[in-house]
Order: sequence, then C-alpha cells, then structure tokens
Amino acid sequence: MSSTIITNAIRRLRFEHDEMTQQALAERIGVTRQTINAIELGKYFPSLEAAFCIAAVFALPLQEVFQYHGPTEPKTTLRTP
Amino acid sequence: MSSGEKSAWISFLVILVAFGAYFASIGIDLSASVRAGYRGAPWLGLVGVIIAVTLFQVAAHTALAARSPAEAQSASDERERLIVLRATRPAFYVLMTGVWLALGVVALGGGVWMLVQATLFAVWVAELTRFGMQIYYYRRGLA
Repeated sequence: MSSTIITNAIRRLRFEHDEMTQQALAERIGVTRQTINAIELGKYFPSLEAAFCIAAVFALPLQEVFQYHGPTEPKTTLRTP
Repeated sequence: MSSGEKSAWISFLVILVAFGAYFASIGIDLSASVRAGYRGAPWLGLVGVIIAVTLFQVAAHTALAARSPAEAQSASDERERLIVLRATRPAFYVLMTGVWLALGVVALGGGVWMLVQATLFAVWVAELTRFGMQIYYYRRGLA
C-alpha cells in the first residue's frame, strides 16, 4: 500500500455530530457503509464529488474534513502569458 | 463484508471448483486417449459444467440477496465500480496471454477440440484472476 498522504477527520466528525453512524453517513452521500469505513481507514480515497458531499454533510469546508500531506512545492510551474 | 465482496467470493469459488474439476477430467481423458490413440470430444461435459455453474451462481446470489435485500437492491457505489475496473485490467492481460498460447497449441498440431479447451482454460484463469483481484482489492483497499 502506498504511504497515506491524504488523511481525514470523518470518524471524529461523526462522533461530534450526535455519534452519527457510518451507515447514516453512507446513506446521506449515496455509498455503502463499507466504503465509508474504507475511507476512514485510509484504504480508499473518495472521488472529489464524494469528498464534497461528505464535507457538506458536516457543513464544513473540504480541507477541514480531508487533509493533504504531500509535497507542498509543485513539481512544475505554470508559465504566465 | 459488502455484498459485492460476497458476490466475488461466490463467483471465484464456484468457478474454481466447477471448472477445476472439469479441466482435471479433461487432463485425465487427454492422457488416456493419447495412450489409446484417440481423442474424444466431451462436449456434453462442458455443457453440463456451464449449466451447473449458472444454476449454482443464480442460487447462491439469490440466497445472498434474500439475506440482505436492501444491500442487494442498492446500486454499486464508486469504490465498488473502481474495484471491478482495476481487477479487470490484470485479467485482460492474462486472457490475452492465454489466447496466444492457445493458438500455439494449434501450431503444435492440436485440432479444434484442443483449441477450444486451451481457450476455455485461458478464460478460466482470466476469470479467476478477475474475481481474485476483486477480493484482493476489497480486503486490501485501493489507496
């Protein structure tokens, strides 16, 4: 497995939202409970759409739910006209 | 375990056992007929295995759906679709390699019956790869 560079706070956020179950969150965004579990464990990185849906359930911006820990410097620079 | 993973396990095991027994019998028949100077054409056995696999798959998936109807009725989500796609890729390479090897059987003097059996064997190994890789991705994850 590749080193996890995207982490998330879904488990903590579920707990803070009336101990929302994985099943309840899964039903809100239209995936299976197993997929929510895989996301929480870092075994699956969700699509951008699913990530935004999860953030919307908790009424938080995306970066407060998902954190990227990769290199901060871009490998290529965009040339401005 | 999700219904998708259970379905992959069912398909993997049914295909492994049924066609494993079929190819074992083909191997025995082949060695016996080579000794006797005769190559039979057990098409009936092949048809029987295909019918048995179909019936058992339908029965097993019906039982699975009866145990958890809500899960069975829900469409597969993005993770499950990605697992199926990723598992299909290595299976395709296995199938292509197997088909080319099956054509080699003809080049070595095998007839139509041998070509059919060799191609079926390639399909069998490819299907085992496909369902095996699905199980692998369900358990290991996709990250």
